[in-house]
Amino acid sequence: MEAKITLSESMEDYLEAIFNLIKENGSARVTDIANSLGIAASSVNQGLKKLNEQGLIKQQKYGPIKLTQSGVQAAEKVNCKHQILYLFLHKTLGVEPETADQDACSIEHVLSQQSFEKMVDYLIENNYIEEQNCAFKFMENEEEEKMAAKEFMLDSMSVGSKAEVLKIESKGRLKRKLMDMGLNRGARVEVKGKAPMGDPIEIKVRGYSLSLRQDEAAEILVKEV
Amino acid sequence: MALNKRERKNTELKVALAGNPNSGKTTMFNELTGSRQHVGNWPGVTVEKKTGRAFYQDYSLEVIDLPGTYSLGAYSEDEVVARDFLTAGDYDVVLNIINSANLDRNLYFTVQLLEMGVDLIAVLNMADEAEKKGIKIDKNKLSQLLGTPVVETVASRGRGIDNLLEQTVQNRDLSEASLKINYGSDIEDLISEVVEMLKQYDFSQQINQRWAAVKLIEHDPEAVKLLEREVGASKAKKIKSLIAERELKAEDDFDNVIIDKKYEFINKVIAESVQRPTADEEPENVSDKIDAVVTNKYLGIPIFMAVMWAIFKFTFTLGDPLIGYIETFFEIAGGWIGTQLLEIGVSPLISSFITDGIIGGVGSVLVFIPNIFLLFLAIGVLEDSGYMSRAAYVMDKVMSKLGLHGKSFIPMIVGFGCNVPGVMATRTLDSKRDRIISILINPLMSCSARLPVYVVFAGALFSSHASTVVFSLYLMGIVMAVIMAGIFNKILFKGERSHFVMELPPYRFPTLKGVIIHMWEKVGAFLKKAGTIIFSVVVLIWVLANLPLGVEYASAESFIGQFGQLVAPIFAPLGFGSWQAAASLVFGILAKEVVVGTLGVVYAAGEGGLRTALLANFTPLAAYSFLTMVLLYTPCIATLGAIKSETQSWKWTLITASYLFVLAWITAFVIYQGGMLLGIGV
Ligand SMILES: Nc1nc2c(ncn2[C@@H]2O[C@H](COP(=O)(O)OP(=O)(O)OP(=O)(O)O)[C@@H](O)[C@H]2O)c(=O)[nH]1
Ligand SMILES: [Mg+2]
Repeated sequence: MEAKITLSESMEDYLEAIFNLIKENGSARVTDIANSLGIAASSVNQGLKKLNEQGLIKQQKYGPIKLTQSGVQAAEKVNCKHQILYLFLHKTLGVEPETADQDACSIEHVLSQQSFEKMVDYLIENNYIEEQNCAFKFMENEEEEKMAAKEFMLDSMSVGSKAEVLKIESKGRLKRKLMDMGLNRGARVEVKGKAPMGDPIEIKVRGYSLSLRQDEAAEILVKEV
Repeated sequence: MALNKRERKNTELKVALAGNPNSGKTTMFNELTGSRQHVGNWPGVTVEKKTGRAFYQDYSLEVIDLPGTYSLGAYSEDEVVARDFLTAGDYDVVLNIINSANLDRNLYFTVQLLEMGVDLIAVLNMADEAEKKGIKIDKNKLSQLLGTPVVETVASRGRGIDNLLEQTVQNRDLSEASLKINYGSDIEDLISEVVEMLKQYDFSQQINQRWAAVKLIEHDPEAVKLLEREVGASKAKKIKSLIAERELKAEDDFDNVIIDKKYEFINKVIAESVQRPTADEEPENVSDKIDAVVTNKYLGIPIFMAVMWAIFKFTFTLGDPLIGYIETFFEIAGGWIGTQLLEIGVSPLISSFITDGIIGGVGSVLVFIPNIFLLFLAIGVLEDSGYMSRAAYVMDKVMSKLGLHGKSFIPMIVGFGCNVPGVMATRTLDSKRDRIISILINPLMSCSARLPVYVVFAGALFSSHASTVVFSLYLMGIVMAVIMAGIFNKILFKGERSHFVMELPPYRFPTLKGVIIHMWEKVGAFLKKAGTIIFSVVVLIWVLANLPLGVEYASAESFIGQFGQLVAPIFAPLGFGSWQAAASLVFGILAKEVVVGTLGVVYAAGEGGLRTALLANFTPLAAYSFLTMVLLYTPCIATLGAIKSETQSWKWTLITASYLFVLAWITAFVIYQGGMLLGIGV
């Protein structure tokens, strides 16, 4: 899934505001956003610039603001967290609707995926939400993402990260060579550095330093540890 | 192991040094035999088998140093040398040199040898480094688990050598039993079946049958070839099909399982016999810190350039004043000896032989000892530090864009010293294609023999810019190498895919002993060359300069003059059409220093000094063109010989000899004619 970007709290607020305005009025303009967030139009412009850089919105000069596909997703997710928090605070703890709404607004930005999922589970168990609730979408997605994130190819590891080798997908001599060098199943590897231009890379395996080209690293399946 | 072990006298032993690259085999070899083989801190220094002798008590040991290898799989030429020797089995004991600081991977090779049934002593070398890392090895336990003697040494400081020799002579007849690793029921069943079939087919009893079976199951190409040789293609096929059939049903490829099980075994051995500090107790790793800077994204390439520049500066700037002294010494000595000889009534002919021939010829080459000395000192430090592998690592991307391999940088750097070991060092390249290209361009690396030519010309004609001129020549060599590599890459056969799976050894502080040995070796070789080839050629030229009888010494009418005149027209368009220049280039193919030697003789440089003669005979432009020619043209016969033996082909040897001549001619032509047009240095 795309939404790997972690957004700052205020960015999430902008996104949410744009999302809601588009839903309500069909379009979002700078002044509307400024009004709904209660801040100056100039700050809104700065925020929009950042969102634009992250590929979450599209804005023609002087034209209306549109959310990109990933923008919509990110906004939906924030929105959904808000809903779940609101329901949880209001329905299960009996917090007043207004307070629940306000608190949800501040907690939504820092809510962990785990807490989010536990809340959803709880709400489902007590029949507070139905099948078509937004939460299902994000729970499934997260699961997929996590699955995917656990296993990846060695070349996509960043400097300093550690992993365990699952499988060498190379064939023939290269595979034998890699395994002879101690890169077989279960070996712990750590990426130590990358050469100028990002290739080859230096890894630590079985206590010594080994260099590999990105092409070779791309054939080694590893699991995060 | 009882493979065709020769009958030897009781007090004679044949001992082979084997193990992972860079584990200290050659250091141990030197320690045992008193030889001075090349040691360096990068994997793949030794590329051929070397023999020496060690004596201990009443015993006489024939010691064989082998190239390093990570497994018996053999991927590159040097590994093939080691593998072939080890599997042929013509030795009594293998001293398996192990890097104690890196047991996991080193034991992987040990285990392979033990499975094969080799009688070996596990030599835990680099015990000092293991200690520094906080690794504690229980030798007795390890010995018990592996079923073979274990000895601890520090080869670089000569520690533990006597004990090793003692163990070696005591354990010359080790048990015949080989190590057995349990590969799990599927494979074990298959092994028994294959062994059964091998027995049935009369597979050689000399070879450990279980080992052969395991090798066949992991599809080792050499084992398959051996099987076909031994039992014939049709029976071999039966065994191969049985294995293939089983593998289809198995969950995982057999070779994966076998390697995994080997490592599992090693992990168990290590868990029981080795104590290692936990991750946070581990002392900080200095090598990693240095690497963070040296191979840094932005700094890596500039640092590499700076290192090369520093070596050059060191050699040239520091050597220059020293040359001056030696030169003056030879000039004064030449003049003085000349007059003395005349005074005591020695015939002018003999006096000329001594002053013109020997002092003028050999002397003008010997002048450059300081440079040679410094150059090899710098290369020695570089080789011992561990930077060589990093240079390959940092440059790999750039080099692969040019169709070369990062590892080709190592032969190139070695080539700055001498192209012969440079060409040999290409053995460590796995891909045949990378290897051929690296060999073809190696002579473009300006070797130490060419340095005297540059220095004498630069000193005579470019005094204020001497260092820049010489540096530009080194650079030209590299640029030409890069261009030619690009061209060969386009026109040569397409090779197999190459890879860059290479160990980066820890940085080590160059040992004074190592560097000095290296330097003395090279300076000694230079002196020897001066006393043999260079001396003989110089004498030959002096004789040719005096013949036919009665001719004026070194005149155009002398034999050498006539010969030079014959060749000179080829070089006339390049700005140096004199017979002297032509003759020096032709004889220079025997050894590049001879260019200077010849000029020394034919310009009768004993008294006046060669520089004065050059100043009178060359314009700066012609001199630069001449130096370009010396840099690029046909390599010396020793290098051509190395190319022939490494490529096993006259074709590549002739291609190298001729393409370089053409390249040199064209480049010198462009430089000279271009300079003339622009009016530079005329
Ligand atoms: N600290 C330490 N360094 C050692 C020891 N033995 C060798 N060295 C260093 O290790 C490096 C490699 O030594 P070599 O003898 O060239 O290794 P080799 O096994 O012959 O290497 P290849 O020929 O490449 O296979 C050199 O820099 C040696 O100085 C030792 O016992 N302790
Ligand atoms: Mg060696």
